[in-house]
Amino acid sequence: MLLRALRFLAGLALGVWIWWVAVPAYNQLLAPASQGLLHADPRLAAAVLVPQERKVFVTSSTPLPTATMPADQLTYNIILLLALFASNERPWRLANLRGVAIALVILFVSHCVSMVIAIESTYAVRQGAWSEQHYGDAGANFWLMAELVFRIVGMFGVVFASWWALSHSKSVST
Amino acid sequence: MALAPRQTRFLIVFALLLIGFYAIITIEAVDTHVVLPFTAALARVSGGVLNLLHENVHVDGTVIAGSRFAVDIRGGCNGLEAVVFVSAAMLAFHAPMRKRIIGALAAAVILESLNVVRIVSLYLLGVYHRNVFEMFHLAVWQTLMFGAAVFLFLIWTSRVAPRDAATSA
Repeated sequence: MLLRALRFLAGLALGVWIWWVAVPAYNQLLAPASQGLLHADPRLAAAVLVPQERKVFVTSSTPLPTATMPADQLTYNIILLLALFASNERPWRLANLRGVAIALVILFVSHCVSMVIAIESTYAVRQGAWSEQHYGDAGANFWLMAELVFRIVGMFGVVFASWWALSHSKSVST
Repeated sequence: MALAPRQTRFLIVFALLLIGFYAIITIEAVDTHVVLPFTAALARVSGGVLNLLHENVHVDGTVIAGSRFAVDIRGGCNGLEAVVFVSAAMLAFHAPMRKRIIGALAAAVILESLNVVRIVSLYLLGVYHRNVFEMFHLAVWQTLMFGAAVFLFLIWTSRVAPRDAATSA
């Protein structure tokens, strides 16, 4: 267990570095992918997501209010993912690396969902009159609750479940 | 890539418990009567440790303040999320109920002790190395707390179900 903990800490250090350096480039991928998902909601169909450094700005050529999303706060669970896979025995073996690759795809999808939830919550609760006009109480509560759940326990829950499933599935463990 | 039925069941129950427990601690009445007093107690303990380190801080509710820096311990920084996380994992695991409850309680104590270390270290970073405070606050310590929760879960499973721990949660 001690060796595993040391591998975890090494993975954590690597993860922090990758996350810190890669966030601006990652946001360039995250913004357009999330925008496609966001347009499923007709209230936000005119929103344009513009990535800039560690943030994503929500803009529009319509009267839709603008917003700033702290995108890096939605994606730092990648650090835990890399640390957990690094803690596995023989982390460089092909099966483990394949697990990392699959988990990264799952994580990217979860980041898009997380971005949409954060934007919906922002527009449902924090845009004053516009929010009241376009979201009912139930809708606003739903998006706020979804954001609360996803911002901490949800984002780490996805990481843990992905790592657990991919590290304990038959193809990886055999 | 297939999971055994028991593993799938574990993940589903884990997810449901995680959302359920987290929903409970966000209820306003629970927040007012349980979470806030607990967080204030955590602030007092952390403030006491900082004073032992000659930082000369005073605690007001959930705020720890010194002459050069202050921290307000809010939801997300009181360690309850990691406790909820590990409790959901242990209670979802196939093991005798008594062992699950004892495991979750022990993990809660360990994680909250670690959280005092987090608060103290973040205060010290705020005073002496403010340029890295945000990175440690957001990325490093959150990951360490949830990483510790996962490790406690792994240690616990290896004790309560050594045969099952590696293959079939």
